[in-house]
Amino acid sequence: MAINVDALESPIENTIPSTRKGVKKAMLVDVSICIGCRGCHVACKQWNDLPGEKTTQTGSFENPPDRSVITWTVVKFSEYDDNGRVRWMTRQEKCQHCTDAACVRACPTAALYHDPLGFVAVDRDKCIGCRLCVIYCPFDIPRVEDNKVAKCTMCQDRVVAGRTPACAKTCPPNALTWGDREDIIAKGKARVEALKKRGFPKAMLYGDNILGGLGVMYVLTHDDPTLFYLPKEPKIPATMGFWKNIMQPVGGVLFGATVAGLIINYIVARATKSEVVRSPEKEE
Amino acid sequence: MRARQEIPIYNFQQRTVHWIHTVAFILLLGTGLLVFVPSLSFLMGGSAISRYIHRIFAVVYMIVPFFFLFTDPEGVRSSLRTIFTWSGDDWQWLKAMPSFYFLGRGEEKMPPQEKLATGQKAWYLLVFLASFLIIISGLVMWIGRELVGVGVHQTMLTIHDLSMISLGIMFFVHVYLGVFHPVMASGTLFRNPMISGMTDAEYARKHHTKWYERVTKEK
Repeated sequence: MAINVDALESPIENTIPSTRKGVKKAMLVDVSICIGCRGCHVACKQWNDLPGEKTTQTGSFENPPDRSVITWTVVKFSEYDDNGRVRWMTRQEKCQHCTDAACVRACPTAALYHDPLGFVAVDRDKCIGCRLCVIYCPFDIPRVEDNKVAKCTMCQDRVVAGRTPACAKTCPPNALTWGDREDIIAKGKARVEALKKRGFPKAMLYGDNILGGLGVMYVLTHDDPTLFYLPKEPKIPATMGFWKNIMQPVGGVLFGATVAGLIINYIVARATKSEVVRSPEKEE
Repeated sequence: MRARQEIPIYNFQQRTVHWIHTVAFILLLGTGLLVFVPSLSFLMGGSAISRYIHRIFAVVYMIVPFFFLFTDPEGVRSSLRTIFTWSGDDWQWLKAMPSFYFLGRGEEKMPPQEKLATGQKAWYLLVFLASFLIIISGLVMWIGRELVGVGVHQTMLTIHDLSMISLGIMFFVHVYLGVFHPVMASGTLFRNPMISGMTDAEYARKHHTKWYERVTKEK
C-alpha cells in the first residue's frame, strides 16, 4: 500500500489561508539542497495516480531518463568542472509554469490554459493531439501520447484547497519549497547570497524574470544554466510569433481581400464586358 | 440555334486525378485550418479525428499525381517543361491581362495561348512548387519528427503554413476563373471541361488559339 500523502498533511497547514485571493504562488527548487532521492517523482505519481514505468539500467543516475505522459517529473543529474572540483548536482525537472507560456499561446483548443492561480493547467478532453505545444515549448515539457497531452499541473487540485503540491510536500531535505511568489523570490535571493559566501561565487536565481516570471524557479550553483540542462535564455520561439502575429492576420486579410476582389471583379467584368467576348451561345 | 462544337481537352485520367486531388486538397485545407485558426478549433470537440483525416488525405494528395509517371511519362515531362518555360508571350499576356480579367475588355490584345494559358501556367507552377514544399515539410513533421531538432520542426511548420496560405488563396481564384468569371469561365460549376472532358471549340479558338489550331489541324 502506497503512502497516503493526504494523511501526512499537517492540520496546522490546513488552517493557513495559503491561497489568499490575488496572492501569486510559486515554487523554488534548490539544486544545492536536492539530494536526488526522487521522492518528488514518487509523490507526483502517487497523488496524480500515475502508473510506474518499466525502465532499463543505462548506467545513468537518471532513471527514468525522461518525462512522459505518465511521468510528469524526473530528477536530472549533471556534473560539471568547477575550477578543478567536480560538482555533482541533481535537479527536479517539471513544467516551469511560465506566466507568458508558449504552449498556452500555441494551443488551438485551449486544452492548455492558465488556471486562476496562474499555473498552466491541462484539460485533456479538449486536447486534439496537434503537438503545437511540444513544438513551441522552450523547455520541451509537454508530452503527447494517444493524441492527448500530459504534463505537471502544479497539483491544481491540491493548491486550490490551500495545500502544497505533492512534490514540495514530500521533499525530505526541503529542496522544494512552496509559498507566496514574493516570499519565494526573496528566499531564493537570500539563498543565492548564502551560497556565494559558501564556495559557489557564481550561484544564481533562475526564472524570476524569465517569460513573465516562471512559476517554478531554481537556485543554481553556477551561472550557466545549460550545465543543469536548462536553456540560457528561453523565450517564445520566433516562428511562433511569426505565425500568431503575421501569418495568421495577414493570411486572413489576404483571404478576405481575395474573396472581396473576386466578387467585385465579377460585378465589374459583367457590367463592362464588350459584346465581342460574349459566348457564341448567347449571341444567338 | 447553332449546334455547339466541342473538342476533347482532358482525358479520363486527368479528370479523375484532378477531382481526387481537389477532394484531398479541400479536406487537407479544412483540417489544417482548424489548427491554424484557433477560433475554428471548437469544431473538433477534443477529437483527434481531423488528424487522421489530414494524414489519410495527405497520402492521397502525395500519391495520386504519380500515376501519371506510369501512364503518361511523356505528358509529365512536357507539362513540367511547359510550366518552367516562360516566353515573351507570357509577359505580353500578363500585361494585357488586367483589362481583360477585370473589365472583360481588350481581348484582342491578349497574345495567342497554348493549352495552358499563362495564368493557368502560373497556377500550375504554384501548385507544383507549393505542393513540393508542403509534402517535404509535412513528411519531416510526420515521419522525421524524432530525427530533426525542434528548430527544424518549427521551420517546417512555418513553410507548411506559408505554402498552404498561398495555395488556399489561389485555389479560390482558380475556381472563380474556371467557372464564375463572366468572360473567362469555360463552364459552370456542374458543367465544365473538367467534368465532361470536352471544351467549347469557339472558346478554345479564342482563349487557347495556339493549341486549338494545332489540334484541329491534326484532325
